[in-house]
Amino acid sequence: MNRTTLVFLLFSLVIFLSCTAQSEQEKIAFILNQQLSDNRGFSLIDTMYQQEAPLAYIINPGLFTEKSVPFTIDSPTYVQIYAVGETIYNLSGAEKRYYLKSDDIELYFQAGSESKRFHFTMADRKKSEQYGNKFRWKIEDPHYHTQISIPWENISSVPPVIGQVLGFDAVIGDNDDGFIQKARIALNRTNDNQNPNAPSYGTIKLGPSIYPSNYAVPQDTLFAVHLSPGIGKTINRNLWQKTPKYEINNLIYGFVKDRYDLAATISSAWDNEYLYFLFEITDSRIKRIFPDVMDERGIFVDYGWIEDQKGDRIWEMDARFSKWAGGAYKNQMTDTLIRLQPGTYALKYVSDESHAYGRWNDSPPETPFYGILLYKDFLK
Amino acid sequence: MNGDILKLKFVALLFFLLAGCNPLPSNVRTALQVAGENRQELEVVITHFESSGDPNKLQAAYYLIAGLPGQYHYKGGLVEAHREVFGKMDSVIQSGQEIYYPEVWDSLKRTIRISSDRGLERKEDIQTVTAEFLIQHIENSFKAWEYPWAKKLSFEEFCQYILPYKVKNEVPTLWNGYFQEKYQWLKDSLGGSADPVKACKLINYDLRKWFYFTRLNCPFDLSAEDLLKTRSGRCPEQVQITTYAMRAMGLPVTIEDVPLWANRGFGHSWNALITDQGAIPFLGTEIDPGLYKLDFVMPGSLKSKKPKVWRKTYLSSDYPGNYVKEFPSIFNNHRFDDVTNEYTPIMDIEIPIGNEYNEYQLAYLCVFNNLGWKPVHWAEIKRGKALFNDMGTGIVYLPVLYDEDGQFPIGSPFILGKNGKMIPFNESPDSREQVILFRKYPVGRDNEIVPGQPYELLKWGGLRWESLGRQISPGDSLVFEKVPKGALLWLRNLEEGFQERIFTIENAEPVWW
Repeated sequence: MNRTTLVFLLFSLVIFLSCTAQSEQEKIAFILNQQLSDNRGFSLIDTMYQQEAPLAYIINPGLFTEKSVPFTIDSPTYVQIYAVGETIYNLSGAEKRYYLKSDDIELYFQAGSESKRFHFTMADRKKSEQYGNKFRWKIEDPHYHTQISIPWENISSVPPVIGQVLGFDAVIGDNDDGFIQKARIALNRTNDNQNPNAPSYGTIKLGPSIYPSNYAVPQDTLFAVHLSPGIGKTINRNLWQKTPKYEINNLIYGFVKDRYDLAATISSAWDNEYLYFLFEITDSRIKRIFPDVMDERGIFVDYGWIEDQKGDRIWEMDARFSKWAGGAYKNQMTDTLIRLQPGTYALKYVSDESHAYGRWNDSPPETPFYGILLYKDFLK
Repeated sequence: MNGDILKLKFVALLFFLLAGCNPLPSNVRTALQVAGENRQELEVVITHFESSGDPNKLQAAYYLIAGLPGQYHYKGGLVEAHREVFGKMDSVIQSGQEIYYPEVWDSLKRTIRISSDRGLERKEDIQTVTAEFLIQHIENSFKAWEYPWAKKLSFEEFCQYILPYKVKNEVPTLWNGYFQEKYQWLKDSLGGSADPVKACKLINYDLRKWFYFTRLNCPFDLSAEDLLKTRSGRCPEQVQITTYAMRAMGLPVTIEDVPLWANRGFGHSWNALITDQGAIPFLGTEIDPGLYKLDFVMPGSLKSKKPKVWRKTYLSSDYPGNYVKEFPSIFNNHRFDDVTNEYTPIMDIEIPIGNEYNEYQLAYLCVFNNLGWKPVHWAEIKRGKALFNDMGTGIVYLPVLYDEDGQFPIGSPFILGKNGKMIPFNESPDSREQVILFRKYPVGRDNEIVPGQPYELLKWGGLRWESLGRQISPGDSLVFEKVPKGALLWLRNLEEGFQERIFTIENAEPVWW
């Protein structure tokens, strides 16, 4: 090979590489322009980046992508991250508020103008106490029994008296797959409004020590039996059997297959110290989600992250902090700003076996791209 | 209809006597020969559809008859004993009681009387199927093809995914008529839409309401009738009842199967809806198309690697079991297509076979599953090589041969890299390290080291597992000294459990394979 041929080949290589680089730039420009003319409501990229070259990007990855793109930060810099990915199927059909919640119980009270909401989950210890509220549960598969004791001062500033009526509701949440609550049933309410300041949903009436057989309890009133002083500390199953039991059967969210999937009853008693509840819940799949488990569950299946030079993940997409990206609900996007110190980093993205660019198995996202895109934030 | 069938039998007899050189396809002629005394039933089917004037229906009859040889089901005392229990389960359900399926099945199955006279007797479909059944099934199938979401299916797709009268080795029953009646609301519910995905989701929503997951173990394949009584089962039964329901309603749904995972125990079945965009996997009676992932079959579980994915078919594929004497029984079902490439990155593997194995016709690749090397694919040995097509990557394989004593390895295990490279385990006998182990399997609390239990660490020694020592665990970990670096290892609990996996050590941590 003579020198002229070699020079020609090198020149051709340079031209080829620059063309390739240019086509990548054009690709990003095309994506951005497409986004700017898009009025569908899933615009993701701020217009101020229109003329900016991305710091790093992995755009429109197909199935089984495992890509890493290095980038360098010279001085402390805010970095704008735009990312679109796919959550696992378990999270695909649910709103964020049902994500990663154990089987649980919520109690709502309204005493005068005071509204209170208490939340107890199966992830709590078998015997636990929160702000004086005592919570005990026992599993007898496929059932669990939960006893809750709430000090009066946590409910109302007014001491309890026989005949007193409080606004009240109880909601049972059911998680079957370890990821989302798939159903919720309520004693009184008919929709899944979790606002404690919303109008009360029924009542609880503080009754005498014996449930009066001729007492016509209104349908939306729970009758709490009065306990003799001191008996509350030894409240047991025999005692509970003497209190009226109410079915909790208003389905306010999701799907209940049958009473083995989810069914519950509630009984109540009271004394001058506490208001007591016994829940007898049938649930063929009792699930508890502990906080340390949440991070291990890989709740995105197509997602991006940033690693530092040591290989530690310093940021990654998290379904709890993402929002719908249009199309199928499993399409989720992230728009966030992080601060990076000087150093070399790797932008990474993986996609799994199905539903990625060019091979969607449900409606694709309506964002201008799939994948991840970083910009230096020049306003900061 | 019985009177019509009798007339048809007479006409068919005349027709086939007169038409000595009739233009039947050769595979249909072969099937008629195999049918023996039941031949006349099949001839009636052919005559019926010849006289119907609909060439597609005649071709559909040919398709079903050509695929009949080798289709079978079981009868016998054991089947009847199970059916008694299915009947009891049905009675409980019909009584309107709300039952807890796992409990009811567990208690009922204990009543199954198993004795030596209660065996399984294989019955060939081709010798037992009736003309009336086949004619009715074909008519129902064509009704299914008429649904708006099914109309664009080609005749070939119709034959493959709508027409088959069975999906396993079950007793044939007229399930398509049943489900067409049950789901007659589907067209109205779709409100003019002809979207097969929507139709599939609506049916799956209904299936979810009445079919239950239970650990229903049965020594034979349940029929549609059985499943409508038990209304429950494991994933093989879930996908079976779903396939019936979907196909009856003109939805091209298949059963996909990983007989053995590459990096965990057992295997899995699921459904796929065949669309213009390819197969969309879903788990009938549970998870809809567009939501299902095979990588993580159970939420929070280890990513599941697929060495081979098969799609069940009605017609038989090429089958070495027909001519090779020692053929692993795991491959006995030869009605499938290889669809591995639709689910996972694949590469071909070429294994050199030494001259000393000249007399062998087939070689096999194994994965480690359920405490041993289990074959997942075969290849013909040609010119000293065996070429395995479309194997899942990132998986440890072991090449073996089979003889009358079973399987034996003919090489070392290797990882099939994403680029197709066969990456060996480079054990260094001279370079050893201390290994501390806290568990015997990658997931689950039950697989942590239990104090006081006996364990044994094994390493692959070329042709077999070799012991690196036994220990009674002194605490929540085991320490093994002088373990060869790079070796493929396996930690066994000698007392209990079945979840164990092979692994290597990298940076003092186990990497599970």
